[in-house]
Amino acid sequence: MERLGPDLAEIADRALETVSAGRSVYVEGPIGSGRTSLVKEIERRSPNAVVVELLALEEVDAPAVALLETAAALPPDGRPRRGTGTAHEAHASARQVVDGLAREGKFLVLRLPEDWRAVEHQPYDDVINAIVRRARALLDGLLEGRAVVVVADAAITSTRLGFHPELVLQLRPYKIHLEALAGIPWGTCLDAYERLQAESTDLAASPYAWRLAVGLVALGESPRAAVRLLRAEPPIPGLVREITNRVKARPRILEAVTRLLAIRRPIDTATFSRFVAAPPEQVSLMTQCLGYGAEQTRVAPPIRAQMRSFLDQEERTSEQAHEELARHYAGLDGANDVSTLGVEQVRSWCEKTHHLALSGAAGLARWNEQVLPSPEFYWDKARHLSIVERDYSGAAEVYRRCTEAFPQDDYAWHYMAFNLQRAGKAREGVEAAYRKAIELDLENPWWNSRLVTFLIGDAQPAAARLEWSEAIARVDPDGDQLRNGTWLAKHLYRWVAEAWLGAGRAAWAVEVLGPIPQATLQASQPLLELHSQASMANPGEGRESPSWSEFLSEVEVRCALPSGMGAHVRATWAALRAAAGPELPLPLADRTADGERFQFAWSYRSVLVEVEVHPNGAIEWFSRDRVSGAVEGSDEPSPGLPEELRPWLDRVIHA
Amino acid sequence: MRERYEPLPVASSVFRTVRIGGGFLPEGHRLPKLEWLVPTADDCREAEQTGRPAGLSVWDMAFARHADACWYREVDPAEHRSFWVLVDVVGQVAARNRREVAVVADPLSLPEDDRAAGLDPEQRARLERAGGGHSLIEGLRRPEATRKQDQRRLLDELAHEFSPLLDQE
Repeated sequence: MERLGPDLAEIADRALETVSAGRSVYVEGPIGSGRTSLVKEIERRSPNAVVVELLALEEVDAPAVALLETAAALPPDGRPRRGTGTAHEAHASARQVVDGLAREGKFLVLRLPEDWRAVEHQPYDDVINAIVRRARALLDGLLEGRAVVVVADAAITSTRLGFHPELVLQLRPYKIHLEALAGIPWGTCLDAYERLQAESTDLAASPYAWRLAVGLVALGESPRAAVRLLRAEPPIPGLVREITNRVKARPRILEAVTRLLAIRRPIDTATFSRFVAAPPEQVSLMTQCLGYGAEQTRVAPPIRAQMRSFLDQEERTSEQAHEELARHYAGLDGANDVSTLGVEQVRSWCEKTHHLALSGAAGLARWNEQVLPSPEFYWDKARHLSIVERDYSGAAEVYRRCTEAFPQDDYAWHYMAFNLQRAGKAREGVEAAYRKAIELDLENPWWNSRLVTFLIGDAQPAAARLEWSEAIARVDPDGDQLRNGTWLAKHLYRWVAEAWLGAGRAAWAVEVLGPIPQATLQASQPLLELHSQASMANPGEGRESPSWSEFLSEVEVRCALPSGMGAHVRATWAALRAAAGPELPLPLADRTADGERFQFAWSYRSVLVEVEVHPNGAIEWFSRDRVSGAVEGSDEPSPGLPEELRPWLDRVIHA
Repeated sequence: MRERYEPLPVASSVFRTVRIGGGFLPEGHRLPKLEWLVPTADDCREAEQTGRPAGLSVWDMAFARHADACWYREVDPAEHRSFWVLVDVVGQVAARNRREVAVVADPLSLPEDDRAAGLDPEQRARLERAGGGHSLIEGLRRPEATRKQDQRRLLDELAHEFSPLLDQE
């Protein structure tokens, strides 16, 4: 092995010696410290090493793919079977796989990308985020009890993961002078390399930082400016940002970069170049600066993630590009069912299925043919449909299929409901799916808050209020979580309070926020502002919503009312507020269609109440019980609010 | 192009476009408002000229989109919202309330103005087709002999049958 810095041979020795003795090893190091080389060296020396390179956690299917690839090292009849698809099952499956590997005298080498630092040590059942929960369950299963080698980014400590290996090794940051990279075939970037080298003879940086800096100079940045970026700690984010800014201004290069960013795995260099399809003068930028590798080219996950974060939504990889990648991988896996495939074929199948999911109509038929072994593969497609294509009906249908295959998948039930709602589908189906998600994960704050806000938006305030009480009883009956930090207040209370405010029920918003400790409010600026808004709009404290007060004060202009009528409108509102109290919600308010009167209206699922003001201040009203169909109202206008109206105002409050 | 006042097929769907603005519109209320289904003063004036019942302006979804309706009305699509209903259901609501309500064609031609002159051929063709989908719901104005409460009941039942149009662009 070429010696380029840290003594990877010695580290490989120690790791193999330790794991052979049945003890685990944790190796951490930053980009460019030799992690890839270390893993290759271990794999070269030990045929019993099963190397699994985890996808970045930003990839929805990352935990599922990891389990499949690990299991692929076992004979098909020794692998976990498709079951409920729950995190609990993922944990048990991971244990089963690692035990199976141990029986065969194999050990796992797990390569962890930087963003797996989100998988903190806690019981996976306590993890709210579905993807992180599955990642946690997977790691728990893989790391418990058997000797493994974990190679991770320096940002992740073993303690943070809840992993307590017998040996922890650190790969030192590896910095070199640029001239050490003279052997790289820089191609069309050679001039940039030479100019940068002339400007940076005293500077040492990691190999990847140098590659990016050469690429930046090749895109037109001055070597001096590139050197300034190299001197930052860390240098890579600034380099990536500047490269992305320059790429965005050049459509042909941007197109190639968006294609490059779709590649999740190392891929043979010829295919890489062909797929990325960069202009000839930019091929080296792609293969030697943004990507690297001799026979196989790869793009480091943090670089992918950072570049994608700097690109706008419309600058994402095209469906056509995904379809091309899907065809490439389809040629390597040769199957629709992953359950009996070997390791390389499993990897190809996972990539094929992912790219089919993102390839739109062109890949739909082939995606439908795949036998999906776990929910994440459905999520991958559904999320793309919903977030990128805004095809909410399509997304809901994919989630529905997921719930058929995996009826216990609360995530799929919830997001089926969410997408049905966005698609404007029948509300009964939406509510039922939201409730099913809660039934499967009672304490999930997000599922609970969304049901409540759905009911508020669905003009069912009484049902929403009842559901809120039940949600608190499920999620945090004793208020412990609320007292112990801001998380629950931000992820549960906040959404509901905002929804009540939006629905003109400030008094109920204040009621929701009431239990939040003052210290919690003070610790969160958004919560503090929300509390202030609710308080300032609370009729229970003698106030009205500022926007409502402003509307009333300008109603003559806003609604083109005849002179003098505004005063009658304001007086009528004051009378309504006095009659019904602080819980009376804000109404729909506007001039009538014929332009002759001004109308206050409350329109809920169970009741409709309309109060109209004539130019002379007289009142007409109409109410309807939308459940029984009963109606009541005035046949002629009369001065003041009639007594018969008051019970209907109560019904509006408790609709 | 349909004949003016030709009844729409009962299987058709029509949408009503209304302005969200001017008034106060908090969330959490069931829409559309009844007032959005009341013929306006302009609708009534036009009826006096044609001798027909006052008609509520709507658009056949097979011909027009929300944006097309807004183009014809020269209003901002972002400030307007559309709600749709089946023609057959309109008839059923009317029958339950013993009212004569009809959904009839009222095709519009492209105006001869600068806006139309600035359209490319594809846009022009699309908007011409959309104009052909303009229709009216006639009979929603309260007859003098009808009690106000019965009128509101009719409108409330009808409003209940409308749903938000998904394509609000």
